[in-house]
Amino acid sequence: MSQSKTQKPSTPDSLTKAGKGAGIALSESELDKVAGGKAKTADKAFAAMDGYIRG
Amino acid sequence: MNAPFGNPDGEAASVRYVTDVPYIAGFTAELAPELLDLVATLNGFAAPERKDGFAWCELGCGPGMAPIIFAATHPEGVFHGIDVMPDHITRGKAVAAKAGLDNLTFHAMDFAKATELDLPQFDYIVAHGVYAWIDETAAASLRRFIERHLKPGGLVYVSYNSMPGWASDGPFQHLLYALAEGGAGDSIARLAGAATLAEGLRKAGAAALAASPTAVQFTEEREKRPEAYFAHEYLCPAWRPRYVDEVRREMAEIGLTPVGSATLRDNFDSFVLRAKAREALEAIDDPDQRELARDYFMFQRFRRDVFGLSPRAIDDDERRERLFDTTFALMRPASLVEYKMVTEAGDLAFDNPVSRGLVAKLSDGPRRLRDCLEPGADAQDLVANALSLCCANQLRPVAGRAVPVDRLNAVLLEALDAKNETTFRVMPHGTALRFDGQILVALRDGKPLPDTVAPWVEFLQRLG
Repeated sequence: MSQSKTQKPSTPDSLTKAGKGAGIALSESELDKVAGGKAKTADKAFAAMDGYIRG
Repeated sequence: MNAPFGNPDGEAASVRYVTDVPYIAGFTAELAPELLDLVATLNGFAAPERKDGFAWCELGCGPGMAPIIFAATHPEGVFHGIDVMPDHITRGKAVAAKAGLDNLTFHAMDFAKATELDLPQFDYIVAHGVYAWIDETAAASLRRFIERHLKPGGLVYVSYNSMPGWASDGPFQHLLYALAEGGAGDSIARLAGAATLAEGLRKAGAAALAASPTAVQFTEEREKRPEAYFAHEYLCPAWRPRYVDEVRREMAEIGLTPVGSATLRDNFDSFVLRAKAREALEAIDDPDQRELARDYFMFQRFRRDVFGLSPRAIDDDERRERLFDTTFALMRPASLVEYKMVTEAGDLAFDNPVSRGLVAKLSDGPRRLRDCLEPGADAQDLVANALSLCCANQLRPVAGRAVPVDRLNAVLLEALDAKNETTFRVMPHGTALRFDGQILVALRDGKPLPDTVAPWVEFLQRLG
């Protein structure tokens, strides 16, 4: 999609729309595994620590 | 021995850090000019113009691994590293001198003193993690430094512990800090003593610790990570995770505009938010309020915010051109690339012929995205898959040309000792990868290596 030079471009999400056969798909069914429960929350916590440690 | 807290220069008592044990020598890839440029491009802003060189500065650089690596791989740039701990700066200077870097200057001083230095106007100012580890006085000094030394159009990276992700672990942090006070030994020893006490309390049924995910796994996870990190994280007197709206308000006061996130996937709602979350957020018009609410869905615990000083907006056409001019590099052997990632919203998959074709092309070496586009292929498909691979850290944006890095890599390996199990392999296009140091030593010395690392050996011999 083209816009005038004075407009900001569309959102970053517009850049990750791909056609059939090249698609990028999000499966929300696994949400509980990634965000729910104490153990997985701790995984996220320690992964965030690695932001400090490993960059 | 230094006092456990304090400014080694004897500055105001309110400026307090853990100073008796040095911090780890980490490399943060998100501090690279090319990655910050990509964040700006994705979000519709012009990155700093770098044709005639550029200036980059890290506040709180620790032992200086990032400025050392970027200075070595960007000879056209001028680099500065600032840290309050003289020990950090001494270590950084020693490595820089051995590597022959003449475009890097270190400064052992706090942010207030650094603000008064005669420095170039910077295209990039970065501060990794320190903003939630320093008190209000030092945070104000950090902002004053930016206000004085950032060039119009320049980018700022500020990462920090954030809320609400730390909400349930705050009481655990406070308990460790309090229990360590008055303990024997240095900060590492005092943290170990406090952790033992806290674990005993948790096992005895302290409900607030059972509710802390970090407390539950602390003993096990602490063994996997450097002791110095935990000492600096948990014994920092001024430790305070920040909300994003608070940080944005503070940065707005010095004229900065939010640009995006250096955690690349966080720039894409469709990657990190479920459909219901995206729908709910549509009810909030104010961008700062929306970003705050977004963090509640993501349980955001560590933010990597990128701001700009009067950044120029670009349109879709210019954005596309800039993306196609970006050079990307594989960050692992093609055979080990994963075409999926787990995000806060679920499982994101991008295993398709376009992403695999792109990986195959980049296995020969870094290339501009436009040079990866096959005749007749869909350009949008290529962009979408390149960005997905970047978000999964399978690719990184890198410098468009290679420079010799053998000397710096040799220096880093020489510095490896028994305590340093891992080190960094600097790549010729301006980034670095963490490796088991013994593998790199064996590779250097021509010693046999296990078959399991054969893809990496081949990768490094060809591209590194």
